[in-house]
Amino acid sequence: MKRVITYGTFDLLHVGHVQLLRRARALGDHLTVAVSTDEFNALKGKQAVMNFEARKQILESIRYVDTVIPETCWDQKVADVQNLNIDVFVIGDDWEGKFDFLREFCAVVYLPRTEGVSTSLLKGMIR
Amino acid sequence: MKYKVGYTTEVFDLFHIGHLNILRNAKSHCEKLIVGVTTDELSIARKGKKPIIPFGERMEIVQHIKYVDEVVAQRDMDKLKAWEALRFDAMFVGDDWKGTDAWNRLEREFARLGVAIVYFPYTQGTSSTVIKSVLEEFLGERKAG
Repeated sequence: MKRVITYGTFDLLHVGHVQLLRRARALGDHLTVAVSTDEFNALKGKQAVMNFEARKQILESIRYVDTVIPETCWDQKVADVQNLNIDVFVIGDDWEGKFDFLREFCAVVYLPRTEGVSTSLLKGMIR
Repeated sequence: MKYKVGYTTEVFDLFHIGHLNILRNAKSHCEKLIVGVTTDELSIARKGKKPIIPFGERMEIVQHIKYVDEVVAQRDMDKLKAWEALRFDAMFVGDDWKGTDAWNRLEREFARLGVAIVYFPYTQGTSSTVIKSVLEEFLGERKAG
């Protein structure tokens, strides 16, 4: 079984998120999503509109998502990949090159982001 | 006993935990869940405002939720017309509609067709309007700070 993992905040779920999840799941047979906790977001100087529990539950209800785990710090990725027997690490290509260090442990795939859809854009529209 | 085909409708703007609870709850009461997503036009006609997320995207997000078996466009408020097309045997509605003239009438009309109306507890404080105001406040604070 090929195991895939991706990371993100997944605040205000939009089409770009679900398309990324669908494509990520298609790279294997099992998809784990690590979703950032509210504490980790605060550490990054960010604040999500929806709290961790809501974001987690919504992700768990998406067809392509098998498991949701919390992301609590920047450097848990190597441990996650090893502990969960991950074969493929997937992330949006706005992070291109940033996670190449994981290639020592698994395949790393940067997926193109959906044009014109993002949480920041959404927040901009509401403003 | 589970209903065979269930139907529920919503705008599903800024998809949130309240929406998810409705869909999860609805699916637990039926074998097949059909969801009607309100079009931009109907939302404007009914509420006088266009949803933030365009219709096609709202529909796509609902399609990706695992409790949902089929998604259709809700173009008007005529539930009997919807029934003629979809032939559901239960309709799920938030209990904020319970006792209103429109739904009392629908209950009688649907009873004749053997269709049950099931009211779900309305999740307080999680509407898209609330999310939107939290978002506005949040962005305002940021601007000020």
